[in-house]
Amino acid sequence: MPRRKKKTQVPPANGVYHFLDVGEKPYGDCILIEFGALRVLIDGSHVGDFEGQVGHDSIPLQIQTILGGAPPYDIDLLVVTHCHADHIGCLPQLVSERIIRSKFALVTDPSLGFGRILQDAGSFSDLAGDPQSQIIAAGLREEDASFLNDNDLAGFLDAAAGVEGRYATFLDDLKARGTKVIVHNGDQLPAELVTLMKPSGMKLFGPSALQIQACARQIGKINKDASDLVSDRKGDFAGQDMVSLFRSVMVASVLDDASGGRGAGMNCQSITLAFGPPESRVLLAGDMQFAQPGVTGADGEVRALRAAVVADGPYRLFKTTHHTAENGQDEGFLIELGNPPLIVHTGGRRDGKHPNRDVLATLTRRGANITFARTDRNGIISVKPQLFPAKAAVTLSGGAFNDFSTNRDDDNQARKASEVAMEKGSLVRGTGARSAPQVIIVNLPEGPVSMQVDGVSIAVDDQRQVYISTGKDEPQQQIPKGKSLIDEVAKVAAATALGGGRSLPPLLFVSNRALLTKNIGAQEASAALSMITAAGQRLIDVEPMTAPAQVKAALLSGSHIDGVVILGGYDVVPSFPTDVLDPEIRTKLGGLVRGDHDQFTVWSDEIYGDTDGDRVGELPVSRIPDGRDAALVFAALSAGAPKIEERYGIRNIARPFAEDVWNGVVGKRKLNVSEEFQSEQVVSAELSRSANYIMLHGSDSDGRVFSGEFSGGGFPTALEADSIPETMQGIVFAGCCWGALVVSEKAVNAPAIPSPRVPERSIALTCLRAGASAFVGCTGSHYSGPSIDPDENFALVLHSAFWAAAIDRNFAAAPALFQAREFFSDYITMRSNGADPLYLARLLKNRGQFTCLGLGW
Amino acid sequence: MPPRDNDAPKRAAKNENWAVEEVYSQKMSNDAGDAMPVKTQPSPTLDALRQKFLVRSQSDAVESVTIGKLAADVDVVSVKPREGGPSKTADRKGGKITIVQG
Repeated sequence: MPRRKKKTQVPPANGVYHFLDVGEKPYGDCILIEFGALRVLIDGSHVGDFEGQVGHDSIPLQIQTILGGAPPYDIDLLVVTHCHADHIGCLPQLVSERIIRSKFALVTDPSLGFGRILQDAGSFSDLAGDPQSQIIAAGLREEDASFLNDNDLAGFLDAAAGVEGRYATFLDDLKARGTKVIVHNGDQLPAELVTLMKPSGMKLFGPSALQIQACARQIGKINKDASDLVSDRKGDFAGQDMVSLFRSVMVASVLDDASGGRGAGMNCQSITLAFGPPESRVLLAGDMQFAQPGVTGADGEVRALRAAVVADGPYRLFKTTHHTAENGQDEGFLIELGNPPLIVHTGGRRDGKHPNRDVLATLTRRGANITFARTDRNGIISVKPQLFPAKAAVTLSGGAFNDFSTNRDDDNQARKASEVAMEKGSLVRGTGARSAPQVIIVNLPEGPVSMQVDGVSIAVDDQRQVYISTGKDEPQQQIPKGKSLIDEVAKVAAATALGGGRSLPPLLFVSNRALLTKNIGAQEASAALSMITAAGQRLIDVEPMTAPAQVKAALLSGSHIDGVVILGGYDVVPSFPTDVLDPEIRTKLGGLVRGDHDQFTVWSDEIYGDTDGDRVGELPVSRIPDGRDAALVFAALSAGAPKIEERYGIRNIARPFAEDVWNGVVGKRKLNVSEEFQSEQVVSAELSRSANYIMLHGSDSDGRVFSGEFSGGGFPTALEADSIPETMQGIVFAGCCWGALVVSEKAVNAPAIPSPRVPERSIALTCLRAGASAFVGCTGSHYSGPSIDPDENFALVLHSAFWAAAIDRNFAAAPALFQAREFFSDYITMRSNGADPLYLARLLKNRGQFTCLGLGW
Repeated sequence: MPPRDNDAPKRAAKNENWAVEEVYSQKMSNDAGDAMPVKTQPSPTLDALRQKFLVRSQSDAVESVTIGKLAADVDVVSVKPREGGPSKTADRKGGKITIVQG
């Protein structure tokens, strides 16, 4: 029988999710997603956003900014989640004005979406009714607008009253332009669309036909009640303008629909979609009221929808539904979604009810574990959910992450810097030399301000808290009150420069742009490599299979080099499983080899410093593993000179030799001893600017934890990745087994391409992401013991040699380790004549397995 | 933090905290040594290290005999803590277990 060719499953692509700025007006949703060339546009913000609101770019301009080039922009799928005016918004103009053209449109039913159920005798379906009742009904179908001032309410009613007709025309227009329009009535998507969207991992959850119909009945009831009310009270309403009339109707109890919110019927018709691969799944559900449906007869269907959504999780990115209203989500729903670390709110700023205060409180409690962005504070929000850490996944056009403050309804607080007219000032001549800093004192207007000075974004919130950032890819940093803005701006600018902007010795940087791009993204890789060349350092792009030879050739040609710095994980520039034993020793050891957990084979980068072919490095080598994390790469590349103000250390109770080592580490703190000392006693801040010495147990299967020993047996956790401070400016030397293992596999079990660890899985990588200059540690199991005799416990020799060299080298860890290894190599050779093979093997293993992670200079 | 166990040092001295899982000796065959499970690169040979680092005269060299003959005198054992946790490499000499890993 002929063998059937197996189909290759291509995983869904990672998308870039752009949440467009919907301005100041309440509500609004517009999301543009790119999966490579495949594009999805969901909803169209407010109708007036085609022109743009004061201080905010129009939707067409935002689309142009994101996609570049000139319109029309090709969209593969256009989605209208439901029929509220702040979602249909300016989509009709985008199409009619040829800003976009779409292959497919997945839309809410234009009849059911407005509660028109002709075959249902119980529903109101007279579109040709009284104009007043039509406007009132349209206003009541929408979200609560009672808090708007008269002008805004008039505009709101105008938009609401026109939306049904505009929507019908819009769908006709789409069809006329060749768009395949799919009206969602609870059916499955057509195969052609499924095939088109396959690269996006798109999944349609609902709503079901029953849910749509239940919602339509509720909307229809509002239509009918509005008509009845106007008819019954015609005399009372005489002479009132529409705004007054609407306000008086809104207080009428007959139309009170508080249970699920006034717009619940339309909200619960929201087309609910998920995108992306399983590890970075994204939920976009319009205004679906998952927490409190509030639609008679729809509870069971919403529960089923919610269960289907949850079953497809966990989610990494969640756009809060219904503009972060309490009926959209609650704590339980967030837990069910898998506690998404990336959360985005969309809506305008002039809205005191959204985001909802209680939901904000829920998010605030999660503050340490989420990155929260909101269009009303941050403008355009672009998210690449696959990037780690969460903050590196999100780019803001303004403001700061995790602003959990509530909005107010009035205008004053909503004023942004861009609305503040700049008075014409006189030309100010700078002072000092050309390169000296120029000091400009600006009196900032009241309210939030956002501005840029020479590429540095400065934002001041309404609490006068200052945030600065150097660009799109750099997270905002909050400046502690009382700190000098000038100093902090200079610090942030330096943070994007190699080595923090200091002068480094001539180094050879080694990477592979294409493979680094795969791991951290194209712009991020480009920026990282540019940091190196901008600093005047030499950078070579190597092929994995020939990397050592290429590095050797580069070291032997050209000018003097002090050290090699590898940029990227083992899947970018390979590290090699290295047999630390001389063949003769391996033979002599016989079965004792199997007693070593690594069989005396460790990961080593020493070959990259070898210029004469003897496999002994002539130059220090350090490595910045990317950890699939651009933030780690930037933090490690931009690490300034180590700032050592104290020492910090933890040792296993069974390793008293570490006290001797500790005596050679500068500082006054005592060495913590575990068993007594356990991880909850770690004061993170004490690791920040310290020479950190860790002599604990490590594990090849879990890089997040180092352990001490209970004298009665067992291993208390003594240091965890969670204990590492957010910022570090010191160095770490760890005599922990596999402490510097940056892949999942030991060298002895190495596959062709090992699996990289991410910072969340590794204390070492967490330190680098925090900005540590270096983490020096082992790639295999480490040999030491309870003895304090250096001839028996040679770990004492190498550890002490490192700290002595570190002091000599101003704590530049790469040359310090190199110097210590030279000393230890000499120590080994002095003991090698006729030495016991097991003793020699352990010496050689410790010599070969210590590696320097981080910039190290 | 668990309560202090005052008898722990005594038990540790008697090796009661550890259970021996496997014993390795020089005489055993080393399958992995004959054929390493992964393709490895060699590290520097002892000769290369001597050529590069033995800058002092041979007379300064430490007599190996003073360091002891580990391979001949000890069994290398893998031990597992009775209280749970990962196994460790240890030396067993005269019945006494010394954890040398970590």
